[in-house]
Amino acid sequence: MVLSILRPFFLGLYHVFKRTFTVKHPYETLKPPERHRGRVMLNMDRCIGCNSCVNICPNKALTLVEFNGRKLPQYNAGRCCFCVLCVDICPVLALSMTHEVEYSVYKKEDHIYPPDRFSQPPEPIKGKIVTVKTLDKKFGVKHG
Amino acid sequence: MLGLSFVELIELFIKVLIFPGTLFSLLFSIIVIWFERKFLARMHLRIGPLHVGPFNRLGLFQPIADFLKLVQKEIITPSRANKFLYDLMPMLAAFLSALSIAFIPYALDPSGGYWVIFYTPLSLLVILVILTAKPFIMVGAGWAANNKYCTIGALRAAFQLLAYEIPIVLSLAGIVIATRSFDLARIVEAQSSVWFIILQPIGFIVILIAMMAELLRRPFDIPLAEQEVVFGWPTEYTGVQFALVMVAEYFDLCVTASLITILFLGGWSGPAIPLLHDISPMLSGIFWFLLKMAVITVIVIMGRGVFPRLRIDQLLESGWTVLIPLAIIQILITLATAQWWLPLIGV
Ligand code: SF4
Ligand code: SF4
Repeated sequence: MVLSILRPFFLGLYHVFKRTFTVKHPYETLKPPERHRGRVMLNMDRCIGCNSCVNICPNKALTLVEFNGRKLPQYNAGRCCFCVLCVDICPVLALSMTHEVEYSVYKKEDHIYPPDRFSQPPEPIKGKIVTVKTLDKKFGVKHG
Repeated sequence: MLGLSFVELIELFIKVLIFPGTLFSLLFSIIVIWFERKFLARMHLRIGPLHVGPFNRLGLFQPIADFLKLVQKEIITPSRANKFLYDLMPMLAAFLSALSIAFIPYALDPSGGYWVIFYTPLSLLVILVILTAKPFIMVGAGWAANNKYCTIGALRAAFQLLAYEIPIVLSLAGIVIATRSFDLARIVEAQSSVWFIILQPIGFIVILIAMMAELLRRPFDIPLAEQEVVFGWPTEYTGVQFALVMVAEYFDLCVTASLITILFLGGWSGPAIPLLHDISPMLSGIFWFLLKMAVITVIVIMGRGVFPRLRIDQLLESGWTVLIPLAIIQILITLATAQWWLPLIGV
C-alpha cells in the first residue's frame, strides 16, 4: 500500500522532465496528415455550373451565384462539415480538399468564400511545422 | 510607543512589513501559485501559464494578472445571504491565516534573540488555537451564503478538519513531550544535533498527511470537490472576496510549511553557506529555512498532481483508524525510548 502511494509521486516527478505534449499552435502547427480534409477548393476553369455539388451538400454550405457572367458555387466554411460529398459528385473534378488549418475569423461573413476566393489555395502554414512522428517516438503513441 | 526603543521599532517594522511579514508571505503566495500551475502542468505533460511577464513563455506574472483581474471584478452578494457574516468571513480567514505567521521564528537574530514578529513561549499552542478556528470560518461562510453547495461544502469541511486536527495535535504531543516546551524556538534548538524527522518519523508522516487534509488539498479536497459541490464553502464569493479566500489558502500553506520545517526538519539549523554567512549568520539560517519550506511545499503540491480525490468515508476512516493510532504509537515509542534519544536533544 505504501508503494502504491509513493509510485505516483515518482511517476509525476519523471513526467516533469519529459517533453510536453502540447503543440503551441500559433508558433507551432501539427503537420496535417496525408488524407486530412481541409476546406474545399474550386477550380474555376473546370467548373461547368452543373449545380450537383449544391444539391448534394447536406449542410447547404454551397450556393450557386452569378460571377463574371457564369454560375459558380460559393462556399461557406462555417457551415461545411467536410463530408467530401461535393468533391465526389463533381462530374468534372473541379472541387478538391485542401490542407487548410486556420479557420478562426472575427466576423461570420469572413467564412463565406465567393467563387474567386473559393478558387485560391489556402495560405501556407505560419510558424514551425511539427510532425506527429516526433511525438510518436517520444510518447509511443500511434496516430492514424 | 509600546515601550520600545527606536532601533527595536525599526526592527519590528522590518519584521512586519518585509520578512516574515506582509511582503514575504505575499511573495510566497504568488511564487507558489505560479510554481503550482507550472509544475502541475509539467506533470500532466502540459505547458501551463505561458505569455504573461518577462522571460520568454514562462508566464511569471500570471498570478499577479489573475489577482488584478479579481480585484476589478464586481462583488456579488447573494440576495438571501446573511450580509454581515458573508462579508466578514473572507477577511477573517485571511486575517487568521496571516496571524499565525507572527508567531513563527524564522532565524536567529544577530543580537541573540529570534527573528519572530511576536515572541511568546507558547507559540505552538497559539498556532494550534488559530488552526482550530478555521472550521468556524468555513461553517460560518458556508451558512451565511445560504446556498446548498456552500452549506454542504462547509459541513464536509467541518467533518474533515475535526477528524484531522486530532492526529496533528497528537503528533505534536510527541515533540512537546521530548522538548518539554511549547516554544517553537526552543524546539528548533533542541534539534541542533539530530532532527525530529529521524527521531519521530511516524509523527512526521502523520502530520504531513494531516496537514494536507487541513489545507483541503488534493487528495483531501472533498469539501471543495468541483464535480460535487462546485467549490464548497467559497462557491458564492466573487472578485476581491474570492482573492482573499485564495490568499488565506496560500498563507495557510506558508504557515504549514514553516511549522513542519520547525518541528521536524530543524528550522534554520544547517551548515553555514559561505557567502551568506559572511554577510550575516542570520541570512544563512533563513536560506536553510526557505529551502526546507520549499521541499515541504513541493510535496504538498505534488499531491494535487498525482492522486485522485478520496471519498468522504475513506477520508474519515483513514483519519480515525489509521492516523490517530499511528500518532499514539509514535507517542508510546517516544516515551519508551526516552533514555536513548534524550542525550541527543540539546535541551
Ligand atoms: S464537404 Fe460536404 S458539407 Fe462541405 S461543401 Fe462539400 S458537400 Fe457541403
Ligand atoms: S459539381 Fe463541380 S462542376 Fe458542378 S457546379 Fe459544383 S463545382 Fe461546378
